[in-house]
Amino acid sequence: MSANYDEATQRELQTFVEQETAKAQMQNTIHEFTNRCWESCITSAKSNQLDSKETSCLQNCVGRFIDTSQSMMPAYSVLRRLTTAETANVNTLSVEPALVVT
Amino acid sequence: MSSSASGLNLSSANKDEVKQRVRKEMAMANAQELVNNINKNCYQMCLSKNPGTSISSSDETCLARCMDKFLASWDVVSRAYVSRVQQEGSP
Repeated sequence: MSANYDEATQRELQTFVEQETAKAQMQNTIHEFTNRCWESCITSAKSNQLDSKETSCLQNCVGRFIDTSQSMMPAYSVLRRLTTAETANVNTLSVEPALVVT
Repeated sequence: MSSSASGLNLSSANKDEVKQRVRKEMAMANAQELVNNINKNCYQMCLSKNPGTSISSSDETCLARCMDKFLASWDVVSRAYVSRVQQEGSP
């Protein structure tokens, strides 16, 4: 189907989709942060405005959450190594239960 | 099938229309998510402790304030997140 589009059109649409996907991911992250930080910073709705304490709490919450995820970066490389090792194991092991059943 | 092949050649006007439609859908989904989150968090804040047989006027006041506050929080979080991302060049 996509073969009917010329190459420039394909490339243009692909870039568009990539950009929109990145935007959507960012929006989802913001929703997630808002929920998380709302929970830790906002305890009542006595007024319809944020006070200065709540505002700075929200800002700190976003900052510290990003700091946390960045300090977890080394853990990601460990995790990646573990999961690739595990998938390899699972693949070799998956043959065995089949043998047990028969 | 051969006749539909010509239909698949997007003119630039069509392309823009498709893009515009995608953007609109994305904005709708984003707004939908925001409304869901307001619902969830403000129910939690205003009603979860004492749901009652009907919504009272003080519940309604709480919900209205909560909605304003949630939108303001979403705005503060968006700004904080975007400025942090821009500072670092990548998320």
